[in-house]
Amino acid sequence: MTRGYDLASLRGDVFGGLISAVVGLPLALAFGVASGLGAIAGLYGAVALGFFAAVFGGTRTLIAGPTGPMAVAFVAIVTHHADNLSEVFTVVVMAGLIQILLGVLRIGRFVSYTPYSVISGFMSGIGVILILMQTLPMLGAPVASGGAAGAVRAWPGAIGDFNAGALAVAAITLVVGVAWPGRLRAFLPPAVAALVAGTLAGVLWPTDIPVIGDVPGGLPELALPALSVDLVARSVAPALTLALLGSIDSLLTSLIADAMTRTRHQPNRELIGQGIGNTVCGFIGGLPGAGATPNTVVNIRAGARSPVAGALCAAILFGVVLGLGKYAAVIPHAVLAGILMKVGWDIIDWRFIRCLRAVQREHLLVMLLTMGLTVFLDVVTAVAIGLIAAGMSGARQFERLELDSVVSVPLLDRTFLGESGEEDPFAARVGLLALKGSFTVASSNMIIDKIGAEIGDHEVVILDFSETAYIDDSAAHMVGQMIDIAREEETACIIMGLAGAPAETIEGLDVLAHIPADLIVDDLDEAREAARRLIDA
Amino acid sequence: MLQIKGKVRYSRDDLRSDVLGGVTAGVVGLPLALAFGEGSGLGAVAGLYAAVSMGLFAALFGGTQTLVSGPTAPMTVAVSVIVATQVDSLTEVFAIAIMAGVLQILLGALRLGRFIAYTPYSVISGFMSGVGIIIILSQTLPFGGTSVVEGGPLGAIRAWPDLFGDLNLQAVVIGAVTLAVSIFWPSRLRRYLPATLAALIAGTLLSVAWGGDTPIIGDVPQGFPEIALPAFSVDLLGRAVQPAITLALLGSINTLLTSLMADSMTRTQHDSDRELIGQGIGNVATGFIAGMPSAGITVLTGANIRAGARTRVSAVLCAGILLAILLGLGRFLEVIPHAALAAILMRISWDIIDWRFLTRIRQIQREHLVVMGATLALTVFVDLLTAVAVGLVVAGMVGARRFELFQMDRAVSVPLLDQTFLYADVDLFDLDDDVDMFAARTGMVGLKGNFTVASSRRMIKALSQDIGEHEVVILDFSETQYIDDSAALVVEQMIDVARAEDTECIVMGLQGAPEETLQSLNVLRHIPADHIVEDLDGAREVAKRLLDA
Repeated sequence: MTRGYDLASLRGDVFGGLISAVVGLPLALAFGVASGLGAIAGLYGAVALGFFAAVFGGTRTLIAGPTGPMAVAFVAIVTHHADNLSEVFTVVVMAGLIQILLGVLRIGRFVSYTPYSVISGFMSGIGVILILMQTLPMLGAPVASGGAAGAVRAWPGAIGDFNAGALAVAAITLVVGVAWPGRLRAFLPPAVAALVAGTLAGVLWPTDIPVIGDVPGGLPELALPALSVDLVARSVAPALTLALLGSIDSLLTSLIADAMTRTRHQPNRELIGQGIGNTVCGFIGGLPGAGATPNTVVNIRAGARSPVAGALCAAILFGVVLGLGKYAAVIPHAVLAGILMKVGWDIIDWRFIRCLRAVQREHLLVMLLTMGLTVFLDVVTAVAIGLIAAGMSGARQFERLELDSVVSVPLLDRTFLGESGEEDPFAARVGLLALKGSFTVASSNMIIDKIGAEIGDHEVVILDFSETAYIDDSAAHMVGQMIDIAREEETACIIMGLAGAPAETIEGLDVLAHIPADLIVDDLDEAREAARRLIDA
Repeated sequence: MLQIKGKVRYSRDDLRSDVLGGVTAGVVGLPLALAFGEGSGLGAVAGLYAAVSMGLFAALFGGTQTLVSGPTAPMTVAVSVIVATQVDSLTEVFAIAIMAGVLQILLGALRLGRFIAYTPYSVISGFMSGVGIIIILSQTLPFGGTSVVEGGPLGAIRAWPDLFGDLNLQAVVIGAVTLAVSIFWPSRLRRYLPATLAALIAGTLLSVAWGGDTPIIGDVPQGFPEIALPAFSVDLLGRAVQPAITLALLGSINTLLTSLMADSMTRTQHDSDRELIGQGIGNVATGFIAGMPSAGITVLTGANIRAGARTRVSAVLCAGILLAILLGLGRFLEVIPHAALAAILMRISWDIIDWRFLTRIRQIQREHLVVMGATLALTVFVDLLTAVAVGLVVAGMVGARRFELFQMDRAVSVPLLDQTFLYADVDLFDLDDDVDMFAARTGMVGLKGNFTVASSRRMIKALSQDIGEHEVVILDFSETQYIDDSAALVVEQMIDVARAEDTECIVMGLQGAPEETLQSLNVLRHIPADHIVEDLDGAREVAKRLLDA
């Protein structure tokens, strides 16, 4: 902390903690129910993760708890191990440990290199899944397994015997959640207003509506995860999914917090905090989570400055767990479904979708690919393929830019070597090949295609790296190929002005193995000397 | 008429070169095809069939003049996994192969081929080394006289104790002799008889003379391969999608990397999309005659080009030679011992491993090492496609980190003194007394060069601090070459920061590709049209108006 912690900070933190607890409560209940483990699991998750992530995390104003992406991924794990809950929580503990490892290995900073179109597609996909999954409880039917596709398959049955009461209650919740007037938001956040309105409607509604039912209050029981070599081996893949997803989700929220507060978070420390929180969640049977964007935003808006707000938020929710559990029993499932639908709707990146027609085709393809794979396959595959597709389409753009910065010119003997006399005045026995700027895999194959043929035209070729800023492994390999071509054509190569990072890369890959040391020169004058020597010999 | 070569005439000289290339490729290719077929679990004959039909169809319809196609190391590894774990019978593999071929045709038709060229060197290196290690490890078993087990390289290692228990000494000796001949075959003789073929002959002769009960290929069907429609069923179709995608993608990557190598050897340019269509047609045809799924073979293509091949005629000729061997010498293939094929596979795989990279591990930059190591480990321990995918992602991230530093240097934020910027044309003595001569109410943020997701987060942090300090900020795009979607959002965030701080924004010199990107994402929606100017003079006008108001 750079400044002292004064009364103003405390007031901001108290307000922030209070309001984010109020916003977080309905979300924690709803995600808990949606996961199939019950509302209390969501609350335990919000308490444990919220507290430990605030204390150990690297983003001062972040509020952590169950989130949409984590709930979606967790549901997939629960349906897979439905028979054995201790296995499920073993996966959660492992996911937490992996996150700690990611933080310790300092991999956190790499998350910020995720392109916008991938994030957009992934978030919109999660929103669509959440909405589709919540259509069932909205109709009064139980949640189906099999994610979004499973929910759609269960539609005929659910529509066949839909519960009018549930639908009405959900509609009321949704309307209040969406249309809650801006003036009143300062006093009561829309999610809470919707929860209260929906629950009241549910209590007053004459017919039966499925409700949460008994919420076991009190302290969670400490459960040691089941440990066996076989189980650990099977859990690696789902734990990795959960860990990576939670990391991406948290760090994206951290970036939003950064933008709002003009501060900088510590990504690796944040991952360690998230990991500790999720590990504890696994031990006490809580829902795994991540940095929650809506909660963090209200926290900051309410004036929070420090992790005290996050810890306070967790403490308040803990109070709810201890004292108010019994009141939650009357909340209808349909109300929570209505709240989650609103959450899903807000996660969808409408901004991108609104300018869909104008967006460039490559960004559109990446976004749609990521979104489609998120909905129909799974989130990690979607992000991985989205990253690859974005990288490839970016490479295509760079190819042209990089090609433009390769300069291949013949140097007239008269002007370069300064010879005169009876020789051909237009002879150009020396060629100059300058690589200006940065060169990557994007252009390395094209450069060989375009330039390779010109190398053989000269007796000596000068490879000019004096204006090269960056060379990656593939471009270094390309330089090696050019040298090979020159050797085949019996053209001598002079390497000029190689320094700094490009030199390191080229040396590392042993590209210059066949170049004699006296042909590696610093500037054009030395290159001229070397060229004279070669041509005279 | 099928176009044989870019130029119209096909000269006698071309023919002579192609014949030399084709014969060489055929002779070198025979042991390879048999060995890879055997290694894939489909049998040596399936490898030979594949070499024949790929040679015909992929060569005729493909987009690389000098490419020779047939069984390859990566395809061998992928097929062996499918054979071991994903099918009930061998005929299902051929159904999967046909689906893979159709997918490849689709990839070509969608023009996705050119993207393969963007695979970074470290990823290719790790992948190929991993494939080499897998084959060497799994071939230790037939080398010792037992049969191949499930579970890839790890399965092979787990089977070692049993292997040492009942080692077939004759098999080991035959394998060792084959390996020795293939390594030490004198280079003077290589022109007449390639090392692998010499080794195959030596190993086989030894086995015939002294082999006893060493396992041999046995039963090679005589005559032309039969054309059979593999059994398709709805059930199989569902199961086959994932392995078919794996085969199609791996085959495409494998082939196009070989095409790139051919390009750099021949100084020509191949047509990636047409090549994929050719490979797809080849794999469909191969599936119908029960051949092994295949791709472009790097070793054979190299031998073909070095022997002089210029056009696709050489690859067709290579296929013809192999077909003749199949028809005429099929009986002699039956006595080839498995141990000899295992030795040949080991020899080939040794060469596939990228020793240049591995022997320089200490000197290589850490980031390249991480990419290569991750790809290699995932290739060996998980699966080929995951390895390439993760390798690409890691390489992208590592590259982004490098670019970040580089791009940050090219974002310039400077305050413009009122004195020099606004009142450049006004005599200093004419100014009112209350004008502060050192005020810098205008700031300029210049983005020079390329800006991508690599730098976008750091940039917003670095620049947003400066923006609030001025009354007017000029965003200078006149030297911006390229902006991606994430960097466009950074521009939007900068505008938002400016709005929050009541700083006016002027956008200067925006044009070309960066303009398209910014407009398509509607980034400039809060900027009035008269604040978007072309040059510094226009910006000065607007700034004056804003500051005076």
